Amino acid sequence: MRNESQRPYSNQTFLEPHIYPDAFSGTLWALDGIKDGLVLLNGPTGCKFYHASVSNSQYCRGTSYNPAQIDEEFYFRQNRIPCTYLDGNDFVYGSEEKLRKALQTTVTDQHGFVAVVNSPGAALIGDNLEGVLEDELHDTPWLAMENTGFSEPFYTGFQKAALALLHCLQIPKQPTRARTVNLIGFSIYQKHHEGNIRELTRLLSLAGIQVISTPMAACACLDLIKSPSAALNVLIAPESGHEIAQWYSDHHQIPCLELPIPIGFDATEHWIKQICEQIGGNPESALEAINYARAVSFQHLHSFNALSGFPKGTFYGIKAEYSLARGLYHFLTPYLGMLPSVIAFYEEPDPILLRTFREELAEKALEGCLTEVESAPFHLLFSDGNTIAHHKARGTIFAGVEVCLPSLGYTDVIPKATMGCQGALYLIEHVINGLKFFCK
Amino acid sequence: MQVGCDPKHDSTRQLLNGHPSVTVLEYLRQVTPDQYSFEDIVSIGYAGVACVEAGGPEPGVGCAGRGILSTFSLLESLGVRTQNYDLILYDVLGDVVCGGFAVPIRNEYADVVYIVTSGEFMSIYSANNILRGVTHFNNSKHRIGGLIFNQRNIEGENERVERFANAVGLPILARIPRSNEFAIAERLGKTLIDCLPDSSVTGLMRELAVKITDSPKRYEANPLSESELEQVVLGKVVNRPHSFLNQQTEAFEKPLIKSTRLATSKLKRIVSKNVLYQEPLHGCAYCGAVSVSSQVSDAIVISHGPRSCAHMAYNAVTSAGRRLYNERGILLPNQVQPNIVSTDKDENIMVFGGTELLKSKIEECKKRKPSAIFVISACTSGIIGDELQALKETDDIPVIPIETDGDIAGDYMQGALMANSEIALNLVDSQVNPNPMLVNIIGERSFYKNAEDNFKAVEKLLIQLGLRINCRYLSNTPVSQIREMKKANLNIQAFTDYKGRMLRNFFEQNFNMPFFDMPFPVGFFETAVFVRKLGERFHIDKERVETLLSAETERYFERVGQLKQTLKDRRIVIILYNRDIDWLLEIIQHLEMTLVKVCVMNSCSEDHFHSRYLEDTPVEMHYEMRGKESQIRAWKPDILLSTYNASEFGDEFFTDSIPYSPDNGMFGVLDIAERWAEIFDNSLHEGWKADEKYFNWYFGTFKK
Repeated sequence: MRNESQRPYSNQTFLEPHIYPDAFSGTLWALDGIKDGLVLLNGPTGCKFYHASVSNSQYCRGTSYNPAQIDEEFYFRQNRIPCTYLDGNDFVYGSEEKLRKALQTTVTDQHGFVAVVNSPGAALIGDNLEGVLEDELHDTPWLAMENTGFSEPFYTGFQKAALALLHCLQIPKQPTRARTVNLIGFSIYQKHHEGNIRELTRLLSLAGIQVISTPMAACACLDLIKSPSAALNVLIAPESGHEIAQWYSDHHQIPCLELPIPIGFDATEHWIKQICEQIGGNPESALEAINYARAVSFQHLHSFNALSGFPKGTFYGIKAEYSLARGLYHFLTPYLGMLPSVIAFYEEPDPILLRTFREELAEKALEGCLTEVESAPFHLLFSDGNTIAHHKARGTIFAGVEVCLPSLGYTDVIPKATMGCQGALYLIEHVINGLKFFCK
Repeated sequence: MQVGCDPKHDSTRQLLNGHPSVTVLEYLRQVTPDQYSFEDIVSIGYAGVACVEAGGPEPGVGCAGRGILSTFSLLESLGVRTQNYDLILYDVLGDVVCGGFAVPIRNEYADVVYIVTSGEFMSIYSANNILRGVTHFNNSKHRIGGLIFNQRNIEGENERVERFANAVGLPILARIPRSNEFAIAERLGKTLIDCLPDSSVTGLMRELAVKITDSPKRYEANPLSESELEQVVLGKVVNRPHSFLNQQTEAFEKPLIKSTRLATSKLKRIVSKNVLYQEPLHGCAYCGAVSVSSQVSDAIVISHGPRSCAHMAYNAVTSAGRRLYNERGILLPNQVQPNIVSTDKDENIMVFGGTELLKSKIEECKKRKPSAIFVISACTSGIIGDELQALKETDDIPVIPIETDGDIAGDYMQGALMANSEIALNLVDSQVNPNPMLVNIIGERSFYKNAEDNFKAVEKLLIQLGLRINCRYLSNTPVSQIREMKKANLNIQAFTDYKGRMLRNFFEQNFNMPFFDMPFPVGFFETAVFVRKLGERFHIDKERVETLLSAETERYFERVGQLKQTLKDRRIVIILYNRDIDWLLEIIQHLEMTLVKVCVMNSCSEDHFHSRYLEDTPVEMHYEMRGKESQIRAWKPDILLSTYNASEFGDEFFTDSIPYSPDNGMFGVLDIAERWAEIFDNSLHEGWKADEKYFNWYFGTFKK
């Protein structure tokens, strides 16, 4: 397998890894993950087009580019993240005039909040965003993100923005509603966030538990305002939600349950049982759904395995966010008997989290696979479209499974999931189809 | 020439009889780039001194340092170095607070730096800061001329300044006393020399002028640490080894007006449409430059900015590549694994400057032995004044800065133009002799998914004519091919729109390269003329050319005949941003359809609309589509073609979209028309359009 997957192809002698977004993008996509907020970028259109495009394709709230419907000025025919289209003159003279006009033009009384976010360049010129917002907005809650953090980690910006918004909304304390949760740690920049939220909401609903909000990921301001009534916060991924959960704990005394990400049947079962135990749900129906999914899984894996012996013993690589990577490992290796050849992260995880994962891998003598994706061969690569295409162009023979953004461009009409029963089946489907080529 | 570099813009006021001149920054705001003229920003004052004021924003807003950068950039682009001034004096703020204000003391501008100080601690502190600033710009070259002591008649000032001068090893070139004569001159709006030519202070000024123009010595900048400075200025003598009496100096050369940035000054004249018309910028120059330069297959592109900028540019480059792989299984190396790296500027770098970080990134990249390194700057680099030009290298691995400064240089197109021109100016070998049967392809757009197919279609035509392609500028192109670009006997452009015209002007003016008059052809007429003209240009046997065309022509009109049965007399309305639509008007004419109206909306990338069918075409320019539904309905179209396939009309009539980049050759257009015919022949409708109300209910921002 090693020889087969290492065919030299490219005439390029040096290869650069995919460049992951930083705190600036994290800020924009956190705030624009709220359905009825207005995120106004105080910056050039060069910082707007990409973010607005990703935002609406990940979380649809209308159409873009229709010259009959969407304004050119500030929106530039995109329906999300209007901007002040700063240029060289504005960097010298300041952006106040444009910012005022943009606010006057774009804000409506239907917006649940207005956030003005400085681009990296605008952050250096020191415009008084708060002064302008105070002048222009009287009834709508607002927040100003003067400096989102230059090259800081994506989720640092994401969580900073989340806390700023939660603070700005001045959410009142509320009585706790039994058997309710908030799911914390989702982001619209997670490839399958919509399908994952749906799947986890479905399973919880089977257990009689209601999801009140998914802060910063495809929810409305009203959901956030109701969020303090949840009996429990369930932390999906510490890197993207730890500080948000802490805020709820500090300000609204909501306990936080941090569980391994529900990827795979065992993890999903554990996840639903723990939540039920904590707030009194009945897991039976959810467990039945999981068992049915296990049956479907067995049916297909058995057919595949009977003729090929696969997937046991095949290699996989992962380049993803920490929690997703760890969750995939805990599903693919114990359940499918696959071996990780490489596990890499977009951003260096918190040292404590990394140590935990390293220890888990060390139990199977697999800690050596915590290395860069370039360094090992694999039959399957779980990653983003850039990383998959990058390795394809090198001539490596493998099947790519897209679990992160950016995508290769396939349009998912039916939302896919990587979590819960549907997620486990989705991953198994890709494992089986991806390994067929290697069956001799 | 005297250039005032203070937002107060009062440096040259007395030279101009007390009248303020127009500032460069006001000028940049008010005048379009094609109208820029050196004479407009220069006022001639006392004794023939040319006066320029940078100006700046109101106190407390914007970024005055960025303004200084913009001023110097304009002066460069207007050829200040070619004006043969005896001397250019930059009058700079004492507080070197950021990279922008430090621009005038960079090596490429100031040959000698004179520091004016008075005897207060804070003034001496600023003087010391200027020395610290100079050390950041290649301090191996001695450039300090000395101190000019502006006396204030305060106690102990002489001793303080002398102790400082001694500690930093600099001479005090002049001691200008406090004098009411300055106030008199100022009241009269004149310089001291003009107003009071015989006064003693005037004499001191004359002596200083002689020292500046004839002084034989320049000194190294040896700033003190803050604690040393306090010790020195507050009275404690510090024994530093370097006194100006024994400091090594360099012989003074008459300041030369150098032309080290010719390349930049040339490229600034190539401006995008957004920049030319001062329109809102679409995209940023940085991203345009990254996209173009990443097409050089064996080079590394360094993004000098925060990681977010590199992330956006990287995905802009790979977007079409990923989709092409997903949809067709085609892998274009430069578009799925572009060699883009980022300096990841962080908070510290923003405050303390990023030139050192960039230097180390360049060294790191050199170890990978690329054929060239392109350095492209994001907004933040332009605002804090990171110096890129000083890092330019022409050795084994050329290092080529492209100073886009995010969108400060302009929009996406401006960056693409800058990258195209800088890469050519720095890599193309002018001495290469042409080979008669070689052609270059210029200006393909890799972000169009049919770019590679279109190239192949044209390549096939060229091969049939016996021609070979020398260099694709720039599409997965190695540096070696760029160097030998002039081997081609002819240059063929993929597009001759605004950007294409700019590129052609650039190559004609700078490399005297011959261009073919037509772009990649679309449709019947263009393809036939393209082949015939190429045949004439390369003296290819006419019969061979006509044979090549005749079979295709027959096939084309046969298909047109079939389509006419369905499409003849169909009423068609076109609403679009595109400007080159003769391929569309041609097929409409060949099919004898009824063209009711062509509505041209404003485009961010093109300012011309031209057509060989113009006389027969009912055109409305600057069309705004909002609120025009009833007008469009009144035209009673059978087909509404638009750049964006609007859903407003539901299933009332057939609507279709117009591709930005149609397939090249005769038959791509016919494929489109064939689809229309199929739709009419089968009376196809689109039931899904009636579901928009549900979409708005479930997915509209405020609907649920």
